[in-house]
Amino acid sequence: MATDHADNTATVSRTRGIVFRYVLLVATLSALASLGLLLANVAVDAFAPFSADPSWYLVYLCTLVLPTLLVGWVLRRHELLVGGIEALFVPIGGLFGAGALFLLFEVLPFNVWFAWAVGIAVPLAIWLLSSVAGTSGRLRAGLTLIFGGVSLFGLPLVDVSTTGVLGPLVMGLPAYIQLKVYSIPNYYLTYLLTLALPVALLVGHQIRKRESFNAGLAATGLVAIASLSVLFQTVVYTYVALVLVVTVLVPAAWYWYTQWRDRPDDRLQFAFPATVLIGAGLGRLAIWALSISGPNSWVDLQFLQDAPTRYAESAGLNPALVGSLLLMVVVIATAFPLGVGAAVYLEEYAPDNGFTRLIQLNISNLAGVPSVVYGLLGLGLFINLGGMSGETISLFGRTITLSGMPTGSVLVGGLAISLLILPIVIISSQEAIRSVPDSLRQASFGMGATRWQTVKHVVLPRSIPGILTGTILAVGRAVGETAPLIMVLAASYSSSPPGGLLDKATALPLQVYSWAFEPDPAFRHGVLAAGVVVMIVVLLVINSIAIIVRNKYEARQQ
Amino acid sequence: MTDGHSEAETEPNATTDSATMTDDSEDELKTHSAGFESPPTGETIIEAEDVNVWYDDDRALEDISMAVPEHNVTAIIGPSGCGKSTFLRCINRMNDLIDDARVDGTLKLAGKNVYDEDVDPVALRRRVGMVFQKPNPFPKSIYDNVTYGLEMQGIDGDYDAIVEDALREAALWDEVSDRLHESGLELSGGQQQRLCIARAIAPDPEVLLMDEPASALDPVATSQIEDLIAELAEEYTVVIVTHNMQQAARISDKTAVFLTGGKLVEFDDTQKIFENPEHQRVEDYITGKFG
Repeated sequence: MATDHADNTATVSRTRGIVFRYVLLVATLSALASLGLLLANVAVDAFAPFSADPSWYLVYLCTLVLPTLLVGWVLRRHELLVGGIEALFVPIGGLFGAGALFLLFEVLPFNVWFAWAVGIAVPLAIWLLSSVAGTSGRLRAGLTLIFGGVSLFGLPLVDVSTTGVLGPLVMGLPAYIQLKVYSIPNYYLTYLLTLALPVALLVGHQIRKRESFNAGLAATGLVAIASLSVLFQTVVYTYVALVLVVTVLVPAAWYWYTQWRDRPDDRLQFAFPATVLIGAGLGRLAIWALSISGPNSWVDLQFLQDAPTRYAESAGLNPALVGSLLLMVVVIATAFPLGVGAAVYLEEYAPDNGFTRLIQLNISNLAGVPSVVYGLLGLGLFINLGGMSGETISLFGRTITLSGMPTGSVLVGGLAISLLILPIVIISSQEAIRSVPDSLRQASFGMGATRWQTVKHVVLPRSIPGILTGTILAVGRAVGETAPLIMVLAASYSSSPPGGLLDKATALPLQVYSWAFEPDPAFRHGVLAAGVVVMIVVLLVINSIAIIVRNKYEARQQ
Repeated sequence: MTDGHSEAETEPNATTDSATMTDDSEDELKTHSAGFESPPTGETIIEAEDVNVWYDDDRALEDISMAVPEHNVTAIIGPSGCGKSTFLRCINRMNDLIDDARVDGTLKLAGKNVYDEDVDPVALRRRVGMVFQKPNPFPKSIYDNVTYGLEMQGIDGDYDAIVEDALREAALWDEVSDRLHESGLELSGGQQQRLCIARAIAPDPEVLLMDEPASALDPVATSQIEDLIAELAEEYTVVIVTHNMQQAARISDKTAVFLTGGKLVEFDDTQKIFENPEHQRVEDYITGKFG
């Protein structure tokens, strides 16, 4: 209609639009280029790729890269590439799990590990037995709580000096075993009992549910025998092989088995992990046989295992890695319950009045406060006020000597950082809770549910993916924080990993920072870059966990 | 039903229908079954006297007085914003959830004012089921949706039987019996709404409130829901808000007409309202002259 009397030859100028579009393109490209240059620079420093023999690259090109590209291209045409990559990432993820376990074992002496495992086994057994017996949920939870509490922490009202049969009852199993039991299994048997056995039983149980009783029994036996045999194969009393069986072999086998069984049309996808794993193995073999020298990378196993030294060649960041891991544990243990609790209260319970709005405003503003300020707060709150060393208080008839919170300890650093990310956790959890449609709450209230039941059965299940994603991303930010740690006087250099929460510790960013001032250029370039790479990998792992968690829960809710 | 009662006492394997019912509700059914033959004169179960509702300073309902008979379908019609839904939400005190809403007057359910101090709104809502305008099943399995009320209210019993019963009553069983453990969100809109009805009747409430239950559905699903409502009235008292006058005429025994300003203009047998209303404004509204 309108075109009837419009001049068909007229044009509208688009010059400004085109210029604007290309300006945006340039901005995007320069941002990407600067980030890419930075990362490439770090990677070159860290991995020293030019130090390798060219034939090293040739071997891997032939055995790994070209076959992978070829198989990947074929699978892509069959739309199986994503499945193939997933199948490959299960064992790789398992490797990261194994790394975390090694770091944990480094901190936790095996006798402590064993003692706590026994303490936890008791409530677990009660729970399983009562669910087999078919008791009601409430009774089961009550029994588990009571027995679990006694088993882990003992009875607080009785005098500690009680010994004999009552000892474990009074002190709790972990403390009792550590203090009074002298004949506990040695460490490889401990890990066999506490790691391999539960995993074997779990796998057997899952197989039994899917197949039959005999198949479940067979699977249990298979995992147990595999764990046992690697233990006796590596009689050097190492638990490395055992941990790898539990974290890499078993999950990968489980994932491959379920995929193979449930999706018979997609079996071709296993060509991808097979190509990559076999290719990597073949390449390694060829390089060993031809004795070709690879790149002299700064990032290697030694770098992860050793403490920092004066020599760049033998420097490592193990203490910082363990320190960061423990800091993360403290941060998650404090910021998650506090933050989610505050978010649930503010969204579901708090009346909409001026006071609530004031608190809300403050939380939003606190999220933007510089991290140095939180360090200062941590110093004042946890060290100056909380460090009541040597004072005694009496609690339930027991006299407890406060050991205080030493400066620069994992506990104080973790608490300072959790103060820092608390506002972020609260805000992201609030957003997740707010995204739950009000119609679901109405439905729940309309069914005669109380507010607590509505929160527990409708609001939280629906918002937990968002809450977890937000929290994990906040923890990712916490890993890179330095200022609060400096303020609470954490060590910038530490030759041994912290043995507990009250030990002085260092963290990845602090360690990297301290390397920047070494006179030796090998430190300032190679070791520092390697530290940055490790930190980036830790962050990537944390963020991928956030993505996996979110996808998993979202898939479940559809 | 009354015959089934005596069977239930002697036979351990009585039908699930009577097994799920409490003694009280069976007695009620017995006493009222006599007057049930001639519809609009059931015994009054909900009685509103001078109910007023304010949102902040806006008056949403003005001096509503009406008596809803038991085991009937009572329709509330009226133009948008006339307070139909507000009134419905007074009956199970869902308005309590809105911070600035204020209610006065008395609203009796089976003779007891639900706004008395000693009435627990949560306990009240366990006696009064509700179905909402937009189907809102929980993101859980069909089975878990139906058992939600039972679990929240701590009702014991044979859940499998109750679920089958509720789904049969909601005319959904044949369509979902083989996929009870799939998500309720995978159903079509009409099926979701029938699932919500099954969810509401599973704990066996006395009254079923429906807030425009078919307004978000297509014509086929709408007529299924309408057939269902007529059947539900045999066991429950149904109060339904609708903006569809034909629907009210088709399914209800009594009709209340709310007009702008939150006033109840006329409340009478449906037939009378649609054929010979007392008020000119009601006639204008029903014949489509406004609203």
